[in-house]
Amino acid sequence: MIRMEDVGFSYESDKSGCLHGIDLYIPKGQCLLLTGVSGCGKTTVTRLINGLAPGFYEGRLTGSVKISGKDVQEWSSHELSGIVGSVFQNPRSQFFNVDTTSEIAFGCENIGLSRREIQDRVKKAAYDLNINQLLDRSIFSLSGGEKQMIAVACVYALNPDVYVLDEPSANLDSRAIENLAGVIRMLKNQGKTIVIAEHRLYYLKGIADRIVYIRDGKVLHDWMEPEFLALSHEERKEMGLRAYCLDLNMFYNNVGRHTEKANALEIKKLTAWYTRGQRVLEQIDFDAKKGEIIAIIGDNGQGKTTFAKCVCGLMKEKHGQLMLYNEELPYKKRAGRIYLVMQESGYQLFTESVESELHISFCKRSISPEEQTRDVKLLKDLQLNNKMQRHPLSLSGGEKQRLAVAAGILQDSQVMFFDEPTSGLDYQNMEQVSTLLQSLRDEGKTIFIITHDYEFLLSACDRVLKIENGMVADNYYITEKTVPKVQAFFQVATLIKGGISI
Amino acid sequence: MRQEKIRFDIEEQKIIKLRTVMKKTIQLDPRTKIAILILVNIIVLSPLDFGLEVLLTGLISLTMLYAGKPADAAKCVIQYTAILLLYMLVLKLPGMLAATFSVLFVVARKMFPVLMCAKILLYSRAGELIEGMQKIHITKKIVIALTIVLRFFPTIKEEFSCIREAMKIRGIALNVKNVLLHPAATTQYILVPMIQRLSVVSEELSAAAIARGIDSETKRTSYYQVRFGAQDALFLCLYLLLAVIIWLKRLGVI
Repeated sequence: MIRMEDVGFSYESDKSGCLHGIDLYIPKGQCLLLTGVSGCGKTTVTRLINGLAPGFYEGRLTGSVKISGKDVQEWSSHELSGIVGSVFQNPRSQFFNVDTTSEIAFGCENIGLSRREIQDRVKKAAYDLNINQLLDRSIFSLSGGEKQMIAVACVYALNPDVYVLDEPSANLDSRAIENLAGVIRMLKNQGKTIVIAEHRLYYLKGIADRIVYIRDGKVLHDWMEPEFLALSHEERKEMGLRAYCLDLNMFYNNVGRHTEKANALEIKKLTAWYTRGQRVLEQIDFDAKKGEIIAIIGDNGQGKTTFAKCVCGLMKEKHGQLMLYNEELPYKKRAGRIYLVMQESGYQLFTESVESELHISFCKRSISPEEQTRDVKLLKDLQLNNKMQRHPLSLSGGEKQRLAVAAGILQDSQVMFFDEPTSGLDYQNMEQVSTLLQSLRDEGKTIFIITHDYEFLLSACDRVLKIENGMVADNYYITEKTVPKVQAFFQVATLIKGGISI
Repeated sequence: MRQEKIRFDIEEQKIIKLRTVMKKTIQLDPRTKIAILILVNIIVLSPLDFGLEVLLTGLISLTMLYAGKPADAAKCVIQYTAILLLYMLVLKLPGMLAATFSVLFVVARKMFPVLMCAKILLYSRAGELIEGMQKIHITKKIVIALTIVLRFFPTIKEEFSCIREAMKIRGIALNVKNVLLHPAATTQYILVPMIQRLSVVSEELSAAAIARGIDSETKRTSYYQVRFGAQDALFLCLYLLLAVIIWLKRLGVI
């Protein structure tokens, strides 16, 4: 179906993601998983297949990429869009239309199908993907998972032979990932050829036929699934890969840390309403100790985000009280004292250099030498010291995140919230986030993490706060006894048994 | 789950309600709506006496009602009345003040009907608007550009609220005091992340669009069918009639 012969590609503007001497033959009906650390070139492989490189992302291509025996460059763009369907990483930026139905029909309209045909295909896509309830809605009212389903539906309506997915799970929560896995399984059963570039591997267990590991633009390993399963965890970690099998206790490493007894943050009867008068948080009582890392889990729409927003001072509560080290912290004083590292930390950076980012304020003031030495030390701790003059937005994702943390430390925030800090990260970067959190904890910060990442949660967090229905559904320390509870939430058992089905 | 379900139920009811309303009345053709928007633009640009202006707003409210949005229609009528009342109040002020402020309200009065028409146009789904424009042979480039514009307003809104929150967390909150005291810095802090985000979105969006065959040479088709019916003729005639009356009046015939 897809044949790559001695393919090399280099981007015009970007050094990372180049490919050299790729030989890859993907037969019809195979589900191929491309993996490797960030910037290894796996996304570029997907772009060569859907023609976006060099068609849209300019660069130099050598060798040949053939689909159904014909060179990708020779297919006209609309013919190709009927044969290769693409789903991308970010569910927010794939939409052309404001409403879902127009969006699903969009691809079919472009290739000039008749109205009758388009209507049938939209109906079929909605039925097969089980998203009838999402038709005729505003896309802006959907959750990330629902958006990603619409993106798949849009491609599905075109009925291509090849599906190319570039990190489709990066911005999804665990339930949405289950749905996605179900859909990929269905496509496979229909005999489609599927190419997926991913960091998060576990959800493809039992679906992927073959795993290709790319490093520095070359195919380093090419396993069939049983061979990949036979790898030890150490070998996998060595290659910088996330877990493929979620074994029972493997990620859990308890070093017995909860020694501090002092309450850092006390939340009393926190209740919040939406403007429409719906109650989203009801009487939340919670105490967080100094130097704790607390994972906030719960399905989407259950109140996790609202909880974080209230505590961080971004949303006003209806009732309730917040005490920070025994001092009452009213709504207006919270923002900044309790810090939030956003999922896309790029939003939080405003100035033109890393150095000036640390001292953002409206009033210009001079920085004393002591402050300067402190800054340098802080940036060194966060491995940003050789990037002082860089523009914050030119940094990598992980670096932006660390810079946002540095700013929080300088604001003297004692409590920090992280929103999905590991979404779309490979193993090394995930480890780095863990290390960062440990060092913050050692300095006595209290950390809350909203996360859907099972592997990360078990390896980095001390405690779990589960929010359901706007209430505290569970609240426990992670010990050997409680690990099964975490697993039950992430449905690890069903995953281990071999794959997910809808 | 409960909250999710409530939200879902509300949405569901909205959809059902919308569908029943749509069945009862045949929706206006997006082309008619475009024509009305252009016509109203011309009308408000010409000198207009007070009675006719009220009549025009009334007619647009009626169109809104027909489009199945009674709540919006009511809201617009109330807002318009409020603007009129304020205008009259301002006229009572002494000399200079009245002159300066009344200009503001005159502009608001003139703009209001146009905005209402734009709102009516946006009731159509994006797909219907595209088909409407395709039918009157507007080139594909313009059609696509306009679709993206429609999509970008909600995007900007979303991004803006994110940036606002980020500013608050970083201790550079966006509030009246800071805007007045440090206008340049505030603008920078909003624009830098905004432009960066929007450029990322637009690049990814272009890639997604190309992968879905947007630059194909074949003639685009449409999921939606738009038809010019009796209701379109009726509304167009009403607006034209109003325009004719206004012009005749201006020429001194009536």
